Amino acid sequence: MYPDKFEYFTPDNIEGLEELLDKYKDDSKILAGGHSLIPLLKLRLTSIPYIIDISNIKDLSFVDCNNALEIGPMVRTGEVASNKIIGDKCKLLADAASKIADPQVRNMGTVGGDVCEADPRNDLPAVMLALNAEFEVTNSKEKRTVKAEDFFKDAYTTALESNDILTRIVIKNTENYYGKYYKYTTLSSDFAVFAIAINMSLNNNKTVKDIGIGLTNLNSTAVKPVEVENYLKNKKIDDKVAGEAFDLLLKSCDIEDDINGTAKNKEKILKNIFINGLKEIYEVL
Amino acid sequence: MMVNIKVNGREYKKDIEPRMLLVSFLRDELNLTGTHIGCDTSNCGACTVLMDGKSVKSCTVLAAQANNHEITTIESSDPKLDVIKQSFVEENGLQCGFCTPGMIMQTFYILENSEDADEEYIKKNLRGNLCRCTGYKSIIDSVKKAEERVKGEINVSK
Ligand SMILES: Cc1cc2nc3c(=O)[nH]c(=O)nc-3n(C[C@H](O)[C@H](O)[C@H](O)COP(=O)(O)OP(=O)(O)OC[C@H]3O[C@@H](n4cnc5c(N)ncnc54)[C@H](O)[C@@H]3O)c2cc1C
Ligand code: FES
Ligand code: FES
Repeated sequence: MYPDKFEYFTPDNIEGLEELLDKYKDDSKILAGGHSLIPLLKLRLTSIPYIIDISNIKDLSFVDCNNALEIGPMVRTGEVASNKIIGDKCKLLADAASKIADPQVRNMGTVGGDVCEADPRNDLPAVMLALNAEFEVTNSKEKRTVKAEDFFKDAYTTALESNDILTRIVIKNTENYYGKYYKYTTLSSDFAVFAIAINMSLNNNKTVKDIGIGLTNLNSTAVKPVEVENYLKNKKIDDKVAGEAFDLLLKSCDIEDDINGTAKNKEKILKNIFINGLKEIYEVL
Repeated sequence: MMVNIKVNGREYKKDIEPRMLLVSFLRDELNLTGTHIGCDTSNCGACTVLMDGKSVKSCTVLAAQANNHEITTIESSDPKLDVIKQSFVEENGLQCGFCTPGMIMQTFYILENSEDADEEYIKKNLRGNLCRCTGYKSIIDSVKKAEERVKGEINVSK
């Protein structure tokens, strides 16, 4: 299978990338690892006349930790899973990255691509929602910061315009937090049937100080169930509280019968995973 | 566009279309047909090669992305690959052999990146490689044997 013809560029700095995006506008697209884009091009589900490979731009590939954890979009998901700083500061992100597909896919796919593709089945959008991550976005005219909760609009649709570049992911909720990514898959696919990202911190009296939750593939895009987060704050987690939280969680989900099972069955599995997950993280903290 | 790709230690300068996939570059431009195309949809891992030491599915990488990078394929003469091949032969890690180049390259990657790969680690890291014949047990045994040999615990009898 061959993609349609395209012209290919490899700028080595952000200014060069901005120029190309301004010049070719909607006819152009950024290529990071290509593991969402190339399959689409091969199947001719899309055709892009000007492809701009950003892998030579060194400023997009870094992992730093000063006050917050800062990650460049070009960092491969395999590196996210094994990077020591990320593993120390953000268990949730490292855990989720290690559950993406297989080693080969993780050696090419990038954290920025996973987020910007906004495939409802992609794992990192929900993780970014649970972490209250912030995205630094730039184009030739302005720089701005977009919160994760304002970033994911719909399936394959984000707050990015065609000339926007995601340049940095900033995660502040690291110190004293613990989190995990609960991914339910079938053997035949790497993508989640659904998944839940949870990031939590506690007060001294063992009540929840802060909690972030993100849901993968339970709606047309990744969802942050804010009502559930608010409900759980300042509570101790036991079966009753977790059960009530689950009832609220269902309001953010749109679960349908499909090839992976009936809605009723999936709801049952989801309930188990959510309640056990909440309790597991609470116990660890 | 001109690309300069080092494959198994040798540099190749070629004029290619940007849309050419790395697997086609290897098979059609360089005649290195050891790398197989199983699914062409990023699922089976038969096309696995190493790019700068990291395993990738070459059906889902543009040759242009490999420009100025170093590729290792099943045709490489790295002695460690010989050890892995020998172990696959002895443990019947293949039947039709179609998935085998990918299995062997992924095994190479596993052995280069872990000191002590147990069965669970091996299974997790072969997740991206499908085999329609063996049922996987003999493949896992082959990887274990190769690992022991690489660690010097068994000698290769040729
Ligand atoms: C077999 C297979 C299994 C997979 N399984 C999973 C899975 O289980 N979980 C999962 O989460 N994903 C999975 N994926 C997707 C994979 O993780 C992708 O690599 C990832 O979604 C996209 O990253 P990429 O770097 O390859 O992006 P690309 O394909 O290069 O880009 C994706 C999109 O993001 C845009 N983009 C990329 N970087 C930027 C940037 N810095 N600024 C603005 N726009 C940008 C591109 O223009 C494009 O529209 C799978 C993919 C394959 C092929
Ligand atoms: S041919 Fe590349 S993954 Fe199957
Ligand atoms: S040996 Fe036939 S597909 Fe693996």
